Amino acid sequence: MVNMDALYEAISLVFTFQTMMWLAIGVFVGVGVGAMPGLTATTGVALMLPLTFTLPQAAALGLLVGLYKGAVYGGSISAISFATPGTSEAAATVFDGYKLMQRGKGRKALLIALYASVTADFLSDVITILVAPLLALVALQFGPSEKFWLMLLAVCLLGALSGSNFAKGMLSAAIGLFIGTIGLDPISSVARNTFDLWWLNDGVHLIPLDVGIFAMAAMLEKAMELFREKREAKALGGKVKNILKAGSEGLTFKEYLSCWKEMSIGLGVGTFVGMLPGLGSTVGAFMSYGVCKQVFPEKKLGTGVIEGVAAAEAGNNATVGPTLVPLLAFGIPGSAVAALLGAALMLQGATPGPRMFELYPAVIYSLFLILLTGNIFNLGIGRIFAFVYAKLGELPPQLLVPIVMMMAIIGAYSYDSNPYDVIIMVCCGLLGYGMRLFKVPEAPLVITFLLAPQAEENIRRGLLINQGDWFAALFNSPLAIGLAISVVVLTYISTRLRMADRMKAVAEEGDRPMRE
Amino acid sequence: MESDIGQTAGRSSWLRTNQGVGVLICIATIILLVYLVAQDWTFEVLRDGFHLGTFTLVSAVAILLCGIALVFDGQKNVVEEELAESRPIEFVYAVAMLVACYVYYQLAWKVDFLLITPLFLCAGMFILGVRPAWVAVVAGVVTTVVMFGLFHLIGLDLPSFLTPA
Repeated sequence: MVNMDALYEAISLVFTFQTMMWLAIGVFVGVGVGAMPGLTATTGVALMLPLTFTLPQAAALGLLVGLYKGAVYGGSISAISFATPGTSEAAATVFDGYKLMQRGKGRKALLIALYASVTADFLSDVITILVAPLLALVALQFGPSEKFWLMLLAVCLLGALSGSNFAKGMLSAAIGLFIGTIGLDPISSVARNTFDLWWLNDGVHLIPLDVGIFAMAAMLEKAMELFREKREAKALGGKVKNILKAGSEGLTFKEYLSCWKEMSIGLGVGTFVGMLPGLGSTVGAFMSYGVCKQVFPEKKLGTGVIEGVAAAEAGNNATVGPTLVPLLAFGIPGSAVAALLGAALMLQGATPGPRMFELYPAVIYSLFLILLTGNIFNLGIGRIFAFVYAKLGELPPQLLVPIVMMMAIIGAYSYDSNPYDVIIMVCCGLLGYGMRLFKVPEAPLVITFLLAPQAEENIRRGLLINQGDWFAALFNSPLAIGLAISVVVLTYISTRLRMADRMKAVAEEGDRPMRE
Repeated sequence: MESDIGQTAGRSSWLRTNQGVGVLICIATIILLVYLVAQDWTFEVLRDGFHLGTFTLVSAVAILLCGIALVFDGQKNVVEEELAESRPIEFVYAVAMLVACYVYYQLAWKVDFLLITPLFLCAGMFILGVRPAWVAVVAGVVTTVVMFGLFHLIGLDLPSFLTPA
């Protein structure tokens, strides 16, 4: 049932000059972030998150959602221009996009990437708007023990799907849980695990943790790459001129329509993958590309056809909206970016979860309107500036690293004006760098860090209700037992069948035409 | 022993395998667990009957279990590409860069953002290989001014003689 008052309030909040301006800035910066190899959507959102607390709710959401949408699309620009995906999400776009570019059809490739991205993104947002409230109704029936097991299930899924090794995914989650227990315990407010440092009594704040793990660590990794003189992208820089050349072949409406099957598959696969915790847009793109290649062998995906670009781009952008479904319906972020958006909502005083639909309907409607409106900005900015953004790939990464590091320091400090947050950010940067070296996924750490206090609160509430009986607290309903069994089965399957490896196999299947 | 990327396994290359890193994680976690068990707060019983350190201990045990899994699982001989390529000195570089960032923060907030930031950016760009040097200088100064202006616009005043405390 639509709350009309809240909807009118959301419309009045979203369709203001200020919100539209921040949404446009978000998309503008996001496409640039995506187009620059070395920066990802997660890094961009992590860097911008500390700045949102000075903005009104709708403007803050506009900036971050716009940035996310823009960055997922923007990755395709450098993928097509230099065969160097700006973000991992666009890796599947390289297969056909770069071949089109080499044949002088770079403009056509960039345009189909834009249109497929926006089409799939818009339709998946509509699905998100329809599905999230229904799932939230289901989630409202959950008690403390069901919520606890659901969180554990989500963490296991993240561990199983977000890396190539289940143990590494779970290691990341366990580190997140450990960091999450630093500071005051969530019920009695007694300090613990502070290593006798008074400034840790307040715990580790999310912003310095995010900025350190995602932005600072990524820049350290990039700096080390530069020290090793890995600069493959630079040699390909001259190709961009081909796109800017006058008279370069564009895209007709008929050609756009001819890709409807690939875009539909991308929409379906991306929406499904986006809703599952741990998979994300990279898997969405590769799975969509792989499925289209299997279903339409006559189209010869991988030989430089627009259908290949459409399949990959629809697959990755269709995950953008649905990745918010677990966050909004259950309060459990399914990806690193969803965790960051959840953090932004918390900074604005609205805790994500099923109760949000009752308590803050205007915020939910604002988010939905921003999701939809963001596509229009993505279309406009992408259409006007895509060819200019292509030049960003030529920017030497040596310029980028110190600038992002400076922004990370400003972001970590300015959110709370706390000098110790800079120390925490620096330490998290080192931790994140170590995790990147050892290929430990970062998303389970941040998500478990966010969930740790909630999980503890739920289990302790369950214990209080059941007068200290652990068995009754953990298994007080058939649903709780079912979820507990799912956790055990998933852990067993993950260790025996290596689910992430199977996902990787799909990616390698898509990679074959490139190598050929 | 031979790793999965085909390196001859000496002592240093074994340390780069999942098994080697797993062993290091186990050692570090055992030290952490000993520290945690020795703390008074770990077993402090709260009003709801819950031990204060339960979740902390659970997380440390989970880290240890993951470390053990890395030592014994089917991918124990795998060496991750990034780890195989990196040299030990790079870790020192990474720590040095983080220390430089912290020193930059202290100076920028205690001296003047507009004065220290261009120096930090120019030095960083130059060390990372931006040539000729004037490009680093121009990029550093322009970025500082743009950032200062942008942050001022969104209501975050960075410490400078231009913005009274």
